[in-house]
Amino acid sequence: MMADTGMQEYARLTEKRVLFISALVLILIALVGVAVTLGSANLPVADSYLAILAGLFPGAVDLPDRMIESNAVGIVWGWRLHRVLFAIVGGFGLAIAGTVMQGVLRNPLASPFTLGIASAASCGASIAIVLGAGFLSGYLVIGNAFLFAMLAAGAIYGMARLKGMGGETMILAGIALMYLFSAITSLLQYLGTSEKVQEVVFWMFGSLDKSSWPKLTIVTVVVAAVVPPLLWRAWDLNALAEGDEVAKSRGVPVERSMAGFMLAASLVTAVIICFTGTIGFIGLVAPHITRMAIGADYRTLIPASGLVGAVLLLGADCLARMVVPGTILPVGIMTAFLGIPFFLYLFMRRRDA
Amino acid sequence: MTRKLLLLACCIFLLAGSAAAEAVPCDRDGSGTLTASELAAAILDSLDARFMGGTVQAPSPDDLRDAAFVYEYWDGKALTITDSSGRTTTLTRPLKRIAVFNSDTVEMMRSIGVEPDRVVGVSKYTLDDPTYFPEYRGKANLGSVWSPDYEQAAAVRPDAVFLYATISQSSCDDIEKTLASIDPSIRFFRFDSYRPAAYAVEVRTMGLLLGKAEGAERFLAFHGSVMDTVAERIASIPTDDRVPVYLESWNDYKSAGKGSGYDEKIELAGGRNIFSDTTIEYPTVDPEAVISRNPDVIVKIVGAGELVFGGYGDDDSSSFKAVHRAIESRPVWDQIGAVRGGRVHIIHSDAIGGPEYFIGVAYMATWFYPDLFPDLDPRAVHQQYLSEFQRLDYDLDEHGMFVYPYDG
Repeated sequence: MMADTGMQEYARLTEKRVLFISALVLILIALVGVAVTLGSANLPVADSYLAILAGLFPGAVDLPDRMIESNAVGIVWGWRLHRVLFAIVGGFGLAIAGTVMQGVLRNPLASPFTLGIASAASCGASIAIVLGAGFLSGYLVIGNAFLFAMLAAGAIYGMARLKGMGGETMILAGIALMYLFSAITSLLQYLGTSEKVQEVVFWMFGSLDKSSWPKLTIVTVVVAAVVPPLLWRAWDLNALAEGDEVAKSRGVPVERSMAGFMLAASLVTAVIICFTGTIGFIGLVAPHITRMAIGADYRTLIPASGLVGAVLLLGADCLARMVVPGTILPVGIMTAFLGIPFFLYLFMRRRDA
Repeated sequence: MTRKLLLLACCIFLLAGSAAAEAVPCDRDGSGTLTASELAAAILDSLDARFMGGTVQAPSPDDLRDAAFVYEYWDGKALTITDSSGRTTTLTRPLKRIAVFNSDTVEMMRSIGVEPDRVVGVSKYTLDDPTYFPEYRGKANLGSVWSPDYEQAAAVRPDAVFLYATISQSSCDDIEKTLASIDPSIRFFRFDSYRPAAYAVEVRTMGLLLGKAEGAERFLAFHGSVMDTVAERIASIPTDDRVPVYLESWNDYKSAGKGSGYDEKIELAGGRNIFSDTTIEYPTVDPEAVISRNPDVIVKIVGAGELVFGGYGDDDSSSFKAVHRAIESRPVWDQIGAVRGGRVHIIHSDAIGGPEYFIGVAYMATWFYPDLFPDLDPRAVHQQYLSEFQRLDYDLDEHGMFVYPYDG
């Protein structure tokens, strides 16, 4: 009898998960369909789709003169398409990184932001912008942002390995790092000219304006390389959620796998935000939204919250491009406007119930 | 990987359309120089084909127009030009659809007489200032270098995009990369258009590039008449005797250090910046340091930050007065020579911060050395700049607030 209810319960849960994930995929496809037609070039909807086809099968599509006149193929392929895909991959990666961090640290507040990774990236970018100093000549801003993000992650990781820190201490260390890096960034802003400060501020807003095919390729490769092993080890996260002792008793090498998870999550975060600037909030909220909807089993939580992140980022970017005609608001601002009310709504509803 | 291949295919596809633009049009013998006879032959062929029913292969009207431009302004040869970022570009046809992200460059183009209809898109800042840039109202809005609108920029099909040379370099690099991936035929040019040290060279280069060499020389003669007068007369003053000056931008106590634009302008006007020993470009200084360094003249810049008033769209002097009073009543500042001597001057950034910087230099020179410049009237310089070179119907006697106090 007991076992029966358990099975039924599980079947219902599985059904719910399948439903949730399919709904997300459908929403995502619909969003892509809309996103490629949006833009201040005011291309007709049909032209946008025709331009995609023309790029996919060069020579096979007869382009009307007005599309050659408007350079529709150039606009869609050179600008819109990689931006849309970048929103999907970036949102997916940031959300997964947040989910993993929250799982490893067993703390609902953990995210690349609270761990200082994002502010480290901002600090690196500011050094490149204001002082013109960096490690990767030609790509100073990107190189610095990535390096500093990994530096912060490495510092937290190192402290955790050496001193065997628990989740809470790690978060405290992360917050301390965040303040340190923010102070350096503020100092640089204080010293910089108004143009440079402006540039730093725009970088920190976070935006998909800087996306390109090569950048998309890099991010896709990293996300594609990191996610399968994370899914493979999702059981470890489930075990960790029960506490270190439980996890150890089930044969999970707690310290080592914690460190591994953190490193993977940091890498994904760093490689995304070094191109976009700080889009922070997705990593915090996507896992919560997903957990409320389908529960905390990491095997489904990871991919599902990745999809939530992709929907959030792409949706926010669409809005960011539509709200004020002729201008693109930074997507980092838009994600907060879009996601936080939704998040609070879910949160309140759950508390009432 | 497939995506990259597709992109490559896409680029090749687009490039195929623009490959024809390599040689000077109508240069029939392919010598690289369009001679008078080649142009004449092209014109005759075209007339023959259009009106006499001739069967020779005539050049298209576009080719003919471009050829005439190349012959007239570039001696019939392809033009190789180096912009302020050091990049060299070779052109075989004139630029006809220009997009400009730098509003100082828009102003410089106007100074040398570039027709507004050759400009297809301007920055948000140019559009936000319809009093000063009335003829650009309605042009495509490209956003700013920090937040560009790529779709608009690509949709107006520019043949050239103008960006800053030395400020916001990484943002400008991003804009180049993205626009080039949308339309590989776009040429990019980098000009600052406001830096005194590079100013004359930039004006000349732009004149040649846009077929306005004569306009550029005419404008430089005017610019030089002001700057040379100032330079000649201050040359005799030994460095130690130069007037010590404290410059403050629109934020309180934010001054200008060595190498900043304002430091350079003070020096051009014959002053000695009391904070030129600071290597930070725009340091926030200690009020005590100003008192102890005791400047003879204080120059305060308004028009941005928290002090957005004055300029072309404002005729009211009350805000200038308030700022003036506030500086004089700072604690213990009545001990400073500049305050005691009544030599605190306020100037709007639109008269000193951009391509019109020489107006501000003229004002400062008269403030620093009133006896040396009895015949220099900065307001007249400003008016001539507006009427003759900016082609604006704007009367400084009726409108605008640029300096305070003014006793003209």
